[in-house]
Amino acid sequence: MNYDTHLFIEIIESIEGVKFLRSHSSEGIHIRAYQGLTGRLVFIETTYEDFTPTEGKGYLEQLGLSHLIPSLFPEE
Amino acid sequence: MNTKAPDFISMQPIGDSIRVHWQFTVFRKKEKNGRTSCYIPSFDIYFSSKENDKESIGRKGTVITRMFIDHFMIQKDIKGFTLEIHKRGFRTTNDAHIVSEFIKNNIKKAKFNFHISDSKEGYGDGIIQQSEIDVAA
Repeated sequence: MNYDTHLFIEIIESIEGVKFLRSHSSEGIHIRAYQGLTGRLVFIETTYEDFTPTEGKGYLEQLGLSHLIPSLFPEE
Repeated sequence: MNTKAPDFISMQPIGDSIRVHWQFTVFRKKEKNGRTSCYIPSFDIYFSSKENDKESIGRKGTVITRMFIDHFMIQKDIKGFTLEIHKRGFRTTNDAHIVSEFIKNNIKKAKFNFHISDSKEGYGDGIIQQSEIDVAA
C-alpha cells in the first residue's frame, strides 16, 4: 500500500501543537522540519509523492502522535 | 539492528569558521513495494530510497545529516545545535564543561561521540559515512 506524502503533511499540520519550523532542499532531496508535541525536532522527508509505512510510523512516534498509527496504518 | 554505532560529531574553530566533521550509521530495511526504508539512530532521522545500494543510501544520508547541521548553523545557533546533539546522546570528554562553553558560543575543538546503543527490529547491516563542512562562526 502506498501512503500519500501530501495528505500525511496535511494531517500532521492540522494537529494543534505540531509546529512547522523550516523546509530544507538540496540535491533533489526535500525535508520539512517540525517541532513535535513534546518539543522534539523531527525531520520529515517529502522528496517522493509517497512514503513507506516504516517512515510514517517513525514520524508519528517522533511527533508524539503514536495514537494515530492504528488508524493511519491499519494494514501494517 | 543491534549495534552500537561509532557515530560522532566534531567541531573545530578555524579562522572565522567552524569545521564540523561527522560520522553516522544508516540502517536500511527493504519494503514489500521495493522501496528501502532507512534510519539513522544517532540523528534520529528516517528517510527512504528508491535505490538499495550502499552508495546511494550513504549519499542521501549525508545530504540529510548536513541539512540537520544547516538547520541550526544557517542561524548561527551553536547553542541550539549543541543542546540538540546532547539531547540525542552525543557526549564529549568533560562533557558538562564543554557543553557549557559551547552554549556561551565559546567554541573549542571537541569530538562528541554517540553513546546510545539503539536496537530496532528488521533492519540490516549499517552503512557508515563521514562528511565535513565549514560553517560561519
